[in-house]
Amino acid sequence: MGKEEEFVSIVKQYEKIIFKITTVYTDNGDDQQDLYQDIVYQLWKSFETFREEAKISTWMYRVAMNTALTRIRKKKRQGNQVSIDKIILQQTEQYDMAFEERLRQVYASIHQLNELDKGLMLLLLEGKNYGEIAEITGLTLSNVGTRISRIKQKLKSKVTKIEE
Amino acid sequence: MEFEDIQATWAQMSDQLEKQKRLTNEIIMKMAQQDYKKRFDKIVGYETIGAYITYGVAALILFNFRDLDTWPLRICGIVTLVIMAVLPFYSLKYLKELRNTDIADKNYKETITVFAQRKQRYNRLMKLSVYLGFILMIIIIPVVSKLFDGDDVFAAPIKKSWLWFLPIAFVFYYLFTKRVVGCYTSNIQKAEQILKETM
Repeated sequence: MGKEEEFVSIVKQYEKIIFKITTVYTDNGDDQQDLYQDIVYQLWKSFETFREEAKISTWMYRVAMNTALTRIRKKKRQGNQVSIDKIILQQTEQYDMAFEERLRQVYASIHQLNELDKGLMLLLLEGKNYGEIAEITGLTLSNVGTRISRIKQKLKSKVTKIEE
Repeated sequence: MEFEDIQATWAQMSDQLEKQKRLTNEIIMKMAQQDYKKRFDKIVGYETIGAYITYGVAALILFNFRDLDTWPLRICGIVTLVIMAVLPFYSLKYLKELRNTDIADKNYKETITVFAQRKQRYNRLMKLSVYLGFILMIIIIPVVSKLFDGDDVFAAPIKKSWLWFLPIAFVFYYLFTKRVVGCYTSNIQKAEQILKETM
């Protein structure tokens, strides 16, 4: 298999990872599309140096998250605001209303977190263990543990406040 | 929303996404070459604006061509029109070809070779444009002078105002050309770098 074919097949296999990251880190369709393109471009650029020492999904998460965070930093320097009331749930044609509402709440909860915590939350929801999260984010294992328990507390306290 | 609820909704979404795969090979490779194309969009934008202005002036000269009533004036008019018609056309054509170098369709060697050939051709055109632009700046004087002032510079002594205009125009042209060529060269080099990184 040629390099290009191999790349295309990997991206197709893991496209939902890119989709989820773009949804977590953007707030409108245009930004989401731009970030999606940026991520594929960065993956293609780094594909040459990807030596399969890491798992493909780990490499993808790492590149995608770094691209998203870099883009947010750039946007912040440019003074753009991110609002959480315009979450785009593309690919939802087949979802029922109740599920879409729940999904909207999930994204709203994630969007309330800071940029790094959004990534940690996403990885946790993706079923990654602390070791894998540490490998993807570059944080230490204990730091991952501490941050994740804080995220869970944060989510819980928000729920409690809403219920009160 | 409890973490467990979030987790369940997320898992359900993942299942749905799995069924909705929609990226094609073509889309993926097109995304990979986006950044490369962006490098050229700015230049192409400037060139397009320049081309509209140039063609506007050329149309004005063409509609009033009958006012150029002597052979020297007509020759100046024709040369002016030819330069104004040909330069923007080829500049845009070559730039678009450079931008559209297809990194998805060819192998590394082919892509770099095609890019190098197109870059060389565009560089030659840029050099030629500098010289032709300089010639244009001189030969447009009799044309403009006749069409807008009614003066034939070949029949009467040149006006003092033109003597002021020429040195200022030369300095402006030199500085402008230097800046534009520098900007274009830098953008093309950056695109080439992206191309090399990408391939």
